[in-house]
Amino acid sequence: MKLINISKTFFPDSPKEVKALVNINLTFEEGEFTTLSGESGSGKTTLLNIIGGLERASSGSIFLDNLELTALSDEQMADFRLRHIGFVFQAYNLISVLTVRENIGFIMKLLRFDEVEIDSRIDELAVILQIEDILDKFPGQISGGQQQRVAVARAVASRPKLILADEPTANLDSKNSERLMHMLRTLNEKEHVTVIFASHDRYVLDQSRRIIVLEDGAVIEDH
Amino acid sequence: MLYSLAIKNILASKSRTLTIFLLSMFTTAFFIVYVAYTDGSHEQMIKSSVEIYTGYAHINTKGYQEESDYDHLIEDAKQVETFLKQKPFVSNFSPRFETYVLLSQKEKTVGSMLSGIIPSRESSLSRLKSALIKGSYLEDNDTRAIYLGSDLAKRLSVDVGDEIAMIGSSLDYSTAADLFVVKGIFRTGLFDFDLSSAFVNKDYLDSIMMSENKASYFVLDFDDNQAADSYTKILSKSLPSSYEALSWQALLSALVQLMQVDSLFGYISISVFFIVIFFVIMIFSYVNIYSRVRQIGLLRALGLTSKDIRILLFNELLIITLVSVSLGAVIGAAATYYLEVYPITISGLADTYKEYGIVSDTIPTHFDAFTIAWNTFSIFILNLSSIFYPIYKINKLSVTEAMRYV
Ligand SMILES: Nc1ncnc2c1ncn2[C@@H]1O[C@H](COP(=O)(O)OP(=O)(O)OP(=O)(O)O)[C@@H](O)[C@H]1O
Ligand SMILES: [Mg+2]
Repeated sequence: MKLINISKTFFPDSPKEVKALVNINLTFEEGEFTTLSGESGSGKTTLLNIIGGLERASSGSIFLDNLELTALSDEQMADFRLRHIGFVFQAYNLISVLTVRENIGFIMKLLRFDEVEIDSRIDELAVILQIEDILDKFPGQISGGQQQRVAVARAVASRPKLILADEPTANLDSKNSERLMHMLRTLNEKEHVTVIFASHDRYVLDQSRRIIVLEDGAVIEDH
Repeated sequence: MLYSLAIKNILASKSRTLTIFLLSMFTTAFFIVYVAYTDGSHEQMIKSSVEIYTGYAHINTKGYQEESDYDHLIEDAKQVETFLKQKPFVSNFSPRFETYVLLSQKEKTVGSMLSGIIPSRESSLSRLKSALIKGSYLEDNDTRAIYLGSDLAKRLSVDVGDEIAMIGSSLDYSTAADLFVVKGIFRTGLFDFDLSSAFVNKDYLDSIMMSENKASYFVLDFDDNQAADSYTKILSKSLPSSYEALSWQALLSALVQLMQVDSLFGYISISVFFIVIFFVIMIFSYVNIYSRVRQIGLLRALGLTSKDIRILLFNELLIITLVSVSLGAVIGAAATYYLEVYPITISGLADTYKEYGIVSDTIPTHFDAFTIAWNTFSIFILNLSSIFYPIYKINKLSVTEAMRYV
């Protein structure tokens, strides 16, 4: 995945103008486990949202293989997200009226996966993420750490090309953070899924193989 | 998947679901019963008017409807008699001669419509005979006997056996005057009619008014009165060109129009109520959808399009409305049907509302499947359309705005 000259300006040409991202050029390889880091307000979330198509860049383009994501329509981008991107957000990740099992299988169902395949995939992920006991509970009945693990399970369930996780550990204690990161790392190694984080959390940084540091919307470090 | 999610959302948002459900159900049922009641009373008013005196059809000279004067009388009643006798579908008929006169008793004088009728033939064409409340009905050989409406008798302060004087104008426009004895008093319940009508034997009236072999019109009954409109068309074709046959729809066109105007006003006033319901449902949908903004944002982040969201939210209301409106329709239809078979009777109702042409103590309702179907359909569409604005508003939010929404 290639990001070419990505910029994002909020409220352009107004007194409130904010240059959240300035000329970002980055390349991500398949199977990466990378964190976008930097101080609060540096543009981590904005960049992640643009990669995931939740927000549009003011200028620049993103290519995946030969597909220009930035040229897709809203509908096409939604479909692309559904098929190829898994999201884990800081909170409110789950659909409250669906059980844990239904939440994990939600995207697979929308993509019309076979019922048997859905069930076996859910069971497989439940073991890795240690959520076998809560599959029939509703999101409101489980802890924050469990919710984040369920969110990870949902994100990876349909084997998307890319997982985007914005501060997935922000609401978790150190033990749960470590556990979540360990599991994500395991999934990354086992299934070769590309994972990009936006975080300044120590546990996330410790596990990452590549760290990109942003400051005032520009890349200042990449190692 | 979107369907099962819609159903789960319906079950989760209990207060929204219940409110919209009950509102749609009751408005549907109420609307059906209301319309059935309006139609039923209109039908009853027209039916009473037709059956009490007007009759299902008339034959008169062209121009009589516009100017009911002596210049537009049927000149040769016998000719019309012969004509009508040859028509197998005309089951009964009788000539009437109507004129405006002054009736007076002592110092009281009242204007009245005095009709010359053939008593025996009239009894099967109108309810005059059965409306008798005091004394007795006219007979074919009666002479100076008069049959008075109850309210007219009251205004003249006369009772059975009293004598009243009549002054009118005969066919040559000379004054005609005579004395009559009240033979009977009738009461149909039609306020105007009971207040202004008096009847005498036609033969005798003709001799005073010099109207022998003349008639204002003939009143007719058919073997099937439902077909009155088509029968009168047949009659009009074969009648001499100076005559016309008119069905009750044409005779009572003013009344029929009045009923239509009344229905229209009924719909307008009830639609105000529906608009309120429309907004209540809309507000409930709006509040409910906004309480789920984050979820909706999440769904879109995961890859649902705004079209999917539209389908999801629309389906939620569609399911609630479909179930509640159908249930309301069943309740409304059942109530209407029941009320038609077992109408509510309030004694004294006819007395209170006689000015409005209500001649019965029962509240009439009319069960009609077609009316119920379109009533139900309109409410269904109206309720469903209340979701469009909330959907439009929510889809205007971007994914990130929706997810951040508090
Ligand atoms: N929707 C928006 N409208 C206006 N300005 C915004 C919007 N979203 C972000 N910004 C601004 O863009 C800049 C980058 O924000 P961003 O959320 O990407 O930072 P971040 O690195 O994720 O910070 P944090 O660590 O606090 O989550 C900030 O100055 C922020 O105020
Ligand atoms: Mg952020």
